[in-house]
Amino acid sequence: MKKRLLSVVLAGAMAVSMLGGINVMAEAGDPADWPTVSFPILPVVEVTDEEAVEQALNDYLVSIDAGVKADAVLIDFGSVSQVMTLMLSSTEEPIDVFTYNFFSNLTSVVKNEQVIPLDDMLETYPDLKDVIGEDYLPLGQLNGTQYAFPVVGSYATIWFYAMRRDVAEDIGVADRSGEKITMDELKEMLAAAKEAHPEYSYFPVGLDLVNVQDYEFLADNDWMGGIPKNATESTEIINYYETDDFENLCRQAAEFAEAGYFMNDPLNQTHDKSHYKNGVTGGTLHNAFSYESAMDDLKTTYTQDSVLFQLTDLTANCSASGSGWCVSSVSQNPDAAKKFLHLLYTDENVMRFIAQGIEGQHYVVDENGCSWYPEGKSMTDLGWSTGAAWYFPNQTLTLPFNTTNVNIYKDMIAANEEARHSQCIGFIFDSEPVYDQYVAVDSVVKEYRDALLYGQVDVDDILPMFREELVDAGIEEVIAEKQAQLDAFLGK
Amino acid sequence: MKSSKNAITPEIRAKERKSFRSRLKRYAPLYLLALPSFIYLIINNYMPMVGLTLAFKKFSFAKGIFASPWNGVENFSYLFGSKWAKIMFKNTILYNLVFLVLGTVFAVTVAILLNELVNAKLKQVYQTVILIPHLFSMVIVGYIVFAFLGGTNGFVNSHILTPLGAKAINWYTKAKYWPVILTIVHLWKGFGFQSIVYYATLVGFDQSLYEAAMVDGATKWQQIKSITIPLLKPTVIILTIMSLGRMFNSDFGLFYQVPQNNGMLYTTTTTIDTYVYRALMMDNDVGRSLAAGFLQSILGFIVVMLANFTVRKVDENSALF
Repeated sequence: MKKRLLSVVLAGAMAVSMLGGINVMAEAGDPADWPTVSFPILPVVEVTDEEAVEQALNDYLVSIDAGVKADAVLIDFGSVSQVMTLMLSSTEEPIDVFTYNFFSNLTSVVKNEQVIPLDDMLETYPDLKDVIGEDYLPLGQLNGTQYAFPVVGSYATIWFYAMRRDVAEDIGVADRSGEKITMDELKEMLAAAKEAHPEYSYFPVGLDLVNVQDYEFLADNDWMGGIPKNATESTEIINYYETDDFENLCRQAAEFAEAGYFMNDPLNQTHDKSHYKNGVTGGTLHNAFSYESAMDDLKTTYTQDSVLFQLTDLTANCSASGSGWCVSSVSQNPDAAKKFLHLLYTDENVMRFIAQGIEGQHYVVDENGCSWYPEGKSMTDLGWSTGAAWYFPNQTLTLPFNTTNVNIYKDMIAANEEARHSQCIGFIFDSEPVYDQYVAVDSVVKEYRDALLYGQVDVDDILPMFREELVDAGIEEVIAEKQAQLDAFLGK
Repeated sequence: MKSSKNAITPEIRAKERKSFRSRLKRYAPLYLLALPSFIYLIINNYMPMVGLTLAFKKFSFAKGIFASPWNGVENFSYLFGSKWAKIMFKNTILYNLVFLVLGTVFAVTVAILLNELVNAKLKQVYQTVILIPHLFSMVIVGYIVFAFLGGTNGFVNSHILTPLGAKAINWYTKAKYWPVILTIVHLWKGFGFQSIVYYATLVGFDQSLYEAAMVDGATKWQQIKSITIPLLKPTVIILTIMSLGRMFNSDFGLFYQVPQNNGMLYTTTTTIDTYVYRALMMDNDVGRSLAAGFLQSILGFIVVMLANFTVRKVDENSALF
């Protein structure tokens, strides 16, 4: 089954441009009359070659007789929320195809009627099922309707503890890189590391420690209800904050705070892994679908030579994919938009123009099929936002960039297959029926959780108050509603 | 005026119409001057009011403002019903009252002191110095406060409390201190600007009144008490009524950036604005955010009307309208 699906995916990926061409050929007329579909790009560097890339992309679309032309809309990362909200309410300058990643989520865009149903696309373009994988299609569904297609990427993840190599060498654990260890072993290592290098703290993102406990939180950042063992055995949602696991997490946090593993004044810090990159922390929790991919991330994104210790098993759960691509409700040409969206998932040339630019100008390809910055160029003077393929519909169609691991996308798809799966994948909670409680509980969580999980308050005093206020705010109603929706989703 | 209210005869109406027309003719250049501002006000402040209907609608981006379906007062319900309702209304109103009273007293005092300064150079220096905090962004103010109150390296803990042998305080987890901290920060940031507004009024007072008082042997204190303060009263009242309109709003930066959105401080730092912001960060719900804004405006409007009504009863000349 696994092998079959994998081969179908790969075959699909190979046959893409052909399929794309066949599907749309019938209706394409004079390219001058083709509708233009707009889609967003969120560059992190200055883009100077927009026209050239668009021209190349459109020339290609004409060459395959696609019947649709494309217009990239460059949106500054910092204002993505405002710009997208405006473009989604404008019929004069609408955005046709977009991702809700970075500014919203599937429930909201559906509730706000910012997207249209895409069920018919699965019939018009049956290859989408193979490219995305039938198991993962529900990530873009709400109440049984396909409103979005999830990005093809890594849905499964392993949690590692990454430690600076120099620190690991000093305490004599560098040769154990890749080993799976227990939390107690990690604590021993941290104690030794802190003694050898007291200048570092060791957890830039303390809340990530919850991931070691193996709960399925159904993609709820507030952890309103969790399912133990990542919902591989049962699908009964319990109030996580009432569990011994949560209490242990609080007590462990107090211990860690006392030992100096968190940064100074943790409640006044932003919590992200850039502190690891900047040399403030000597280690960090990090997740990726494989050891190699985690190593790649740490080297390229966090620029630290690291050793890795595995803490959890490869697992796919609801939090794995937070993003998908949709067609907007203001699109004047929904059919053309769907056509283009399909190409984004299946045509490697289209994906490469968008995510990588023009070959030779924005990237070069070596004999193994990996792509690199052209000689003498770097991210900042490239002219196109190359190297951030992961938020586009199908990164697996691009050429591995800035890495020698030519199999990185094959491994990614394979990991999705190998991972143990939460039974709830694809479930999306609609908070509307219990909105008032949901908002009140959210505020209570924000009130106490950080203080407890960074060890800033006394657990015996604060934890009972926290638990009581959660119940007062209505966490039990929220969990009951969640359970009802989950049961309906599972067909119970 | 009173008689015309009681019995408006056709003759009076005609006369009024005529006088309106002649007034229009006479003041045409002035009306023309005011026209751009009127247009601005209509476009910027009045036309968007149509959007307030969204507070009672379930907004759909696909259908737009007018075609979205009505949903009664459903958008308002999240503001009430949990412990936060009491906390946010109480905080918003109490902070505003304290800021209003202390802010005015403080600003008027400083304005009078400035006025008594003889040295013009010094006067300019003081005016500039007290105005500087007003120009700071609240984000920066937040970090200045953090420099004082930080747990490990904050000035108060490491240079005052610890050397004195007291135990360091984890300020960002103790909600009880924050009403005082926020009041100090607000006054420090705002008093410069406010006192310059009052000072500008003071400068315009008729100096002969003071000269006459001095001839009569009045002391400085007597001059302030019997001339300055009574003359300032209308300005104080107008500014007060105007700030009463924002009684249910709060300075978002002060309550969000300065406590750095620390959860443990929510009981004393949550105002309507910060609660709404946090609630709606979770989804982009246009209807619910408008509902909160609408409620704040309506309540503010009622307070202004009541305040103005009361002022008019006591002293008709000081009333705003």
